[in-house]
Amino acid sequence: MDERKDRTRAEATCQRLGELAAATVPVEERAPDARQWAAVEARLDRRRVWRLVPALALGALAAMGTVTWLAARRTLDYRVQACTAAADGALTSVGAGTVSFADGSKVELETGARLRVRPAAFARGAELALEDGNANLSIVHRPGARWAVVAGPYRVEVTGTRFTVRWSRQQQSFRLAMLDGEVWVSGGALARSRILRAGQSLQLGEPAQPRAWLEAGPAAARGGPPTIAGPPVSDTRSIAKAAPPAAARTPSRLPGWRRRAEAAPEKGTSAKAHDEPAETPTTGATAAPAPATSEPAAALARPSLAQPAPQPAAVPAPPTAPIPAIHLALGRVTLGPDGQLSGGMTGFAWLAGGAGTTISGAATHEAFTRLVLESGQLCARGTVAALRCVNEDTPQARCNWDRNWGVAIGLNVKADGKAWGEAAAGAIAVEFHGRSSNYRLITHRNGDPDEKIFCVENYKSGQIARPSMFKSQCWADQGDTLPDFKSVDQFNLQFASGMAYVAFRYCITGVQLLP
Amino acid sequence: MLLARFPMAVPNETDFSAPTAPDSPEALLVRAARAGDRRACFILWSRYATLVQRLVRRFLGPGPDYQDVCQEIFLRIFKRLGELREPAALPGFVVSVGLGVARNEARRRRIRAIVGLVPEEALPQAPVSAGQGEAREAARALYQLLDTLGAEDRSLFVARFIEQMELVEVAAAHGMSPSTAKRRLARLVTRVNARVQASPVLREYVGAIGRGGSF
Repeated sequence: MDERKDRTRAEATCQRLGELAAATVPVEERAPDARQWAAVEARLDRRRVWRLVPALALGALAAMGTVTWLAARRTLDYRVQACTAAADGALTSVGAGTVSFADGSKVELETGARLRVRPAAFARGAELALEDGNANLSIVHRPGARWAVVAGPYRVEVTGTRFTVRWSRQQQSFRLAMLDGEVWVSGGALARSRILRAGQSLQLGEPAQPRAWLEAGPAAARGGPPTIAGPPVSDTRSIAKAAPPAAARTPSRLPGWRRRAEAAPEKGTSAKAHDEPAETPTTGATAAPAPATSEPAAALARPSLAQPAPQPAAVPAPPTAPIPAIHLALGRVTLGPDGQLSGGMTGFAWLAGGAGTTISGAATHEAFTRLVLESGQLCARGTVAALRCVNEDTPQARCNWDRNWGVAIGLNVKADGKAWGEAAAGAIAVEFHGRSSNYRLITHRNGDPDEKIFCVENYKSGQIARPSMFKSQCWADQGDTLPDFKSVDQFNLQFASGMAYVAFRYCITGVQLLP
Repeated sequence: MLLARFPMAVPNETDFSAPTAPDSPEALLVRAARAGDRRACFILWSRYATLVQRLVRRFLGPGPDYQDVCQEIFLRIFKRLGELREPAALPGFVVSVGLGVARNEARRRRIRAIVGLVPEEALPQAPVSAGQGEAREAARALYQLLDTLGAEDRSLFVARFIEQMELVEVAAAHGMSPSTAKRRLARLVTRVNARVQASPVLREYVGAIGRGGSF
């Protein structure tokens, strides 16, 4: 009962307080002021404006899209001369065909070349699909320009440059020669994009051609007439303080690799490129004629070839997947499709090893067809046995240098094995990389005994080597020097043997000839 | 009863117990305001401005800054008119929206006082009508007491005891069932009474009161 009374009293208290508030809080009973409505209306207007924001934003986006679309539709104008246009838009040159673009870029087509032009959006450039034939391009550099040449499976990205590109649909061969600027090449047999600069060229040949481009070995083994350039023995010396006596190195003790390495490929066996023009227009080199046989050289070679054991049994079979025949462009010296050099040298590249050398994949070191072409580099890998010596650490120390001299990647300067002559360069720089070791750049004079060599000890990649730096006893930093390169017939980069068994892998990445 | 106490809100004698005809003036007005007709909005504002203003002032207590709250209430009403199914329920809808906005304002003021943006003691004291000496002091004490309540309890107190709304109207305005409203009001009354007993001014003011009605 008391609880009910308390609740009633509490309610009465609240009622009284409510009446108090209603009575004491001033309330305007007059009509609402129009200014108050104006304030409400102003806020209503502001909210209405904010409600329009999404619509305005959408409108702005639509306008931007329309402008962008219209700009994207604008393409670079171009004019075609001396070409016929097929129904599908492909242009076929019927003479000296040209495609001139509004920005000054120009494409010159050789007769019969077939090109398709796909102008890029925003008038930035065009994608040129070269379906067949040869094209010379001169692309004007512009900021933001996008030019590309598609030739078969290859794609060339261009910013502004001059170059020649050739695509043979029938032979599936691609050739690119840079005249100016630089381009990126990708696709096809290239595992990754590569940059090509002025003076460089790239050829990627027929898919059906075998992997190895140095086929001279098998050709010689089959009795083909080898071309002898007469290179010297690279007599490696790693520990001795003095050079071994030259008289100790007789021709009979020369490793058989030399005779094979000097052999040019027999025409018709792997020299498809003999029928082709030079790869790099800028070098001005031309394809060498069929290699001539040198009688003295043949006399040297035949005894070696008669040996039954070192047959190049591991000549790689043509792979099932198409692999281009040529992978390499060596600076100004370019490697041709059959292993023949051009651009200052016309001989062949070769690989050879001493008695204690094992080249990966090869049956014996005599098989000098194991020059590995990797990503545009001329590579060799394998192992070199330790030297066997007597009287170590004495002036009378003697080792088996003659037989176990290491491994060498060589370049014959001329296909006929003769001296370089008046075309000789003033200096040479060989770029290479490989495990840290004593590398030796060796040359040989035509007509000198095989054991007579000139070398640069501890040669570094890219080092410019002039004739005066080549010494006949470079390991002792003494001996005669060369007056010039006119009389030399080869260069080779030697990975020398040492006192320990060692695995090697080194690659020549470029050869520069300097005046 | 609510409508009877807000004559300005319902200037025409309309029977709100029955659903409004679709083409009745009230329905047309609501429909036009919903469509954004500015004249219809003005008519609605002119009908309910006094009600809203009084509600706000009684809720928040006397103070200078109630116009913004009133404007916000009308903006909210115009925005939410689409939720109003029955035009006859417009007055209750206005009160419901008004109480909601006022509750938010009360919470905001309380938070400001807590975080120190406006010290609680610096909040404008409730000026009351002149010439009411004791009542003025009691009113100030009452709003100090209301400041100690939560926003919803304060809203219930204002609706039930200051605006004298029926229990059903209070429940509808707060979006709760009548039984819930009754239960919460009972607890609120007990709490307010306890605080009144703790306040000498209010205790003295209501001391003479012995009995009252029941809800």
